[in-house]
Amino acid sequence: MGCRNGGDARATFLAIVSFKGERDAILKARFEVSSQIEKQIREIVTATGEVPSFGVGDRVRVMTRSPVGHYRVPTYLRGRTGVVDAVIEPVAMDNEEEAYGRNAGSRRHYYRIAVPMTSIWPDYAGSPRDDLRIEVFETWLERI
Amino acid sequence: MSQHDHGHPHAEIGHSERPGYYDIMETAVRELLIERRLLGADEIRRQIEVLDSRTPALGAKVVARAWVDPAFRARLLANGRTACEELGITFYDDTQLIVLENTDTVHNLIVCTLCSCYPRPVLGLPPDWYKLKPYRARAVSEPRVVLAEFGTHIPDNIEVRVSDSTAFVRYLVLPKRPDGTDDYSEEQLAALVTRDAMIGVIPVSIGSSQ
Repeated sequence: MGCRNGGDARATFLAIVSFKGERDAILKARFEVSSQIEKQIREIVTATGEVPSFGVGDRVRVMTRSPVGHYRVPTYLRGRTGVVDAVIEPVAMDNEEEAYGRNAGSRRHYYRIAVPMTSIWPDYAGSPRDDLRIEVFETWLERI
Repeated sequence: MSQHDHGHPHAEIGHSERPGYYDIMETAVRELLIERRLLGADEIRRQIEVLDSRTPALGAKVVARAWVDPAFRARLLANGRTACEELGITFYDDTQLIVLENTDTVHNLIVCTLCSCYPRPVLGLPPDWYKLKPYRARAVSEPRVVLAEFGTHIPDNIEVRVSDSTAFVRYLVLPKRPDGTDDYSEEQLAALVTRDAMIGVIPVSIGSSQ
């Protein structure tokens, strides 16, 4: 936009001021809306199992139980303690429930846990640095 | 012996043994699924073709790309499945893939103690020894002895990290790139990478090839 004389310059100036005012009002409204959304997001209620119960570095114990049916936690790990190395995404079906056709609402996280070999096998002959990594379903882990 | 004649003698190719318990069960379940129209014979044949099309050459391509392309390597270690999909290697099932990098301080070994979980989309069918109980039991209880039997001796200051694949996550070992391969092309590197190296029982060496 060009300003060839004083009248045009005044009009342009007023236009800019009014545009700035409008813009500020719009930005302010947007901010209010977005902070309201932020608040709503903060207050979201998640479904059971949607958010992982454990985080990286958490110490966990593999439960000692022997359910009837299909399950995937090897017996050699029952009762062993480990540290969460990674949270596996996305959430997965609980295969023990799935085996009975119960699928709805049974999605939770798997956790990759690190367990020292020397804590699994008392007579472990390798290096004390050696460890085992395995994905265990949330329902098999308890926090320690 | 067979009655036919095509220039060389051989025993008749065929099954003479009676089918075993699981053979009969498989046939019965398959026939029932087809009869009830839950599966078609074409779908079963198609899935066999899918499995047959997967070989360790795919995994070798992934490894070689990771060696020559640091950005791809980073993406591969962050999400094995999506990085493989970038190269056109599809995952026909719901499995995820964690790629385990061998370094100067960690040597990775993979096993499935419960059955024979294996990164089939990138490696194809597992070798028989991988599915048998001696390997499955011993890989988690005396991994260094098992490795030594494959001729792989890991010094005590290097951690042996065994990943037991029992859920929906599969593993692929990213072996160390051998010394003396600086001037190798990506294709030449891929030719060095063997199935066993991607399971973690041996390293990749210049002498090895598929």
